[in-house]
Amino acid sequence: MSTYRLFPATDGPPAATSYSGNYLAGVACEVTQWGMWFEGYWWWVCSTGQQTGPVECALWQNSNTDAGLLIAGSQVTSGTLTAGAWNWIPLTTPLPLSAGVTYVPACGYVSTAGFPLTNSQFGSGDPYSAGIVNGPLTAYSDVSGSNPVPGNWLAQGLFQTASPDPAVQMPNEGSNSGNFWMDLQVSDTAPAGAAYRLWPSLPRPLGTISDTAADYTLATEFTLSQSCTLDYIWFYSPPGASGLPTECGIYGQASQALVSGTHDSSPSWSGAAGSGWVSCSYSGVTLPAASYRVAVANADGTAGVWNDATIGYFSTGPGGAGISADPLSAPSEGSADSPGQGSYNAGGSLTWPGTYDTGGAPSYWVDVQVTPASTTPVSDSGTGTGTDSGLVAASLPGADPGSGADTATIRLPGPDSGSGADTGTIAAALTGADAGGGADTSGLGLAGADAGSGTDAGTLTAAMPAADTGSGTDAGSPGASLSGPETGSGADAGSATTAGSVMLTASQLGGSAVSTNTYGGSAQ
Amino acid sequence: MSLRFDLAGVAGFDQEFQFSLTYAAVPLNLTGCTVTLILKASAVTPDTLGVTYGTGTGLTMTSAADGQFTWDAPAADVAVDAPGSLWYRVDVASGDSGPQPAMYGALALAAA
Repeated sequence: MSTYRLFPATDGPPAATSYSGNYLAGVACEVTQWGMWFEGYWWWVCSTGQQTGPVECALWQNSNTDAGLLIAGSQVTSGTLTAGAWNWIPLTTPLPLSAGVTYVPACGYVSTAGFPLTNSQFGSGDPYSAGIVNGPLTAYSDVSGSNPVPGNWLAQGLFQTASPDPAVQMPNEGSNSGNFWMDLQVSDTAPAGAAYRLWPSLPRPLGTISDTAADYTLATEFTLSQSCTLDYIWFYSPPGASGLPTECGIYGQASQALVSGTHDSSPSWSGAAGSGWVSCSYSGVTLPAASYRVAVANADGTAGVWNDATIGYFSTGPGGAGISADPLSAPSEGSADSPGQGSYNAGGSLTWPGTYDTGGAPSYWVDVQVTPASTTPVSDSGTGTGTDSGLVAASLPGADPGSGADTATIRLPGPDSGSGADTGTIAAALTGADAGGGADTSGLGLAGADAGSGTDAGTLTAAMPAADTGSGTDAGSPGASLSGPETGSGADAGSATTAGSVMLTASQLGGSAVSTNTYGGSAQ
Repeated sequence: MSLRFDLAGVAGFDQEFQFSLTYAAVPLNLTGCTVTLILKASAVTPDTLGVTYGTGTGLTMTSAADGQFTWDAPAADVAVDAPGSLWYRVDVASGDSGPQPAMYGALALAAA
């Protein structure tokens, strides 16, 4: 897992610029890689001249003007801030981002003292005249720099005084190419249980034109790398649309037939025509790993334009290299299966979209939302004392509230209430309870509670996703995470270390330091 | 609750400070955490222009469970015109969380 910021190692100014009134700060940025997750905001508070009261934060999509569209789920309020430091303001749930979209993370407050500002940072000849590139995270330059916001719709950095609420007004003004010290954090790792869309956090699609007023089936090819449940079919209904699709479904790419359970001949869309993204809900449908086409059709399409299209999206646009947010992906024009990416069929009933305009590479903004299907653990419910062995390693994440070093590598996934030694060398997971008192010579660990007092030893990688309440020694050698809660008192020995984390809240931190200097005995 | 804690030393001489970090008013358990200390010219100086100390390279964990460690800065790192000052910041990273400032402040350096 990697995280990225714009200013991971640069502090803001020590003193604030004096100001009283409504204030918003922002920075225009994009992610250049699919599958990135927005985790939260960083806000610099100067050592002097800036209040430490809570600020509001929100994320916007710049919508090809100097205005914006608020990203749902992006609003958060900080706690009391710390002066002279970057303050981390995390989202409760990380948000997926779409690549190639201009986003503006913003924070706001009613200033009674001031705000951080460093002038001449993003313009021509300035330190960030080419913007800031940190892995897949990019901040644009000001319009006078070499990497401005597409269309020069926005300056860099950004502020506003029209409102103190970043969920009401997007900061959209610049001043002297100054840096207002707004930062964000993105990650390349999805949170547990995440759902996936091709175009997440994209209230308004990019570069659209109004399509033809006609009856069509419109589709997007996508691929699942693992079995997923189908949550929604999404469709972007542009402002002024005459109506909504009258059918929707998922076609198997190989079979060119509708996947069982996906055809809705009378979809109940979540919103009205012209209201933007609307969804049709599904439950109980699992799509195996394969390639598909998500499709919508409108039998009343001749009544007026009902869809947008973005020509070249999958060739020269942000989808030019395809979309990939594993396990969900969509091929580019060059990688698409027959008949091509962004295909259609003329006619009012939902039909295999077997027509493609060569070179068009369009997106008709037909999207799908899926959730990786959970895997059911194998349970060893027996109570025998025999050996359980295998060759498969496993890792299950969880909390480690304990304070000791956790260096175990192999655990049994079920409770081990016996008192005997548990040793082994071959990777295998016992996911059920081990209630026996004999030795378990598996190389993988207990994924469940280990209530026994004996020694549990092994050599291969595994995780402990459940409580270790035993008092015995749990030993192993290869690296693995101890991801379950540990309340036991015994030592856990091995070569790996715990994967637990500590998220510090600045307001709770404190400390002191005392000098023990002797100055080498040469001080005067 | 302030994280700022200014230090004082003597320019051009070896410095040693013993740190004790707390969280919610109790010692911050640093077991399994990565602690770094950055010494730089000022708060706004990029970290990359400063000196970074880690465990074994200037920092010594004296009691990780109690949040205690020492920082030894060699004379060359604090050889500034006296009286003068530098800026330090202690970052703590653990597991999925990135480095987070745990303590920082000015290091005032007097003449010998």
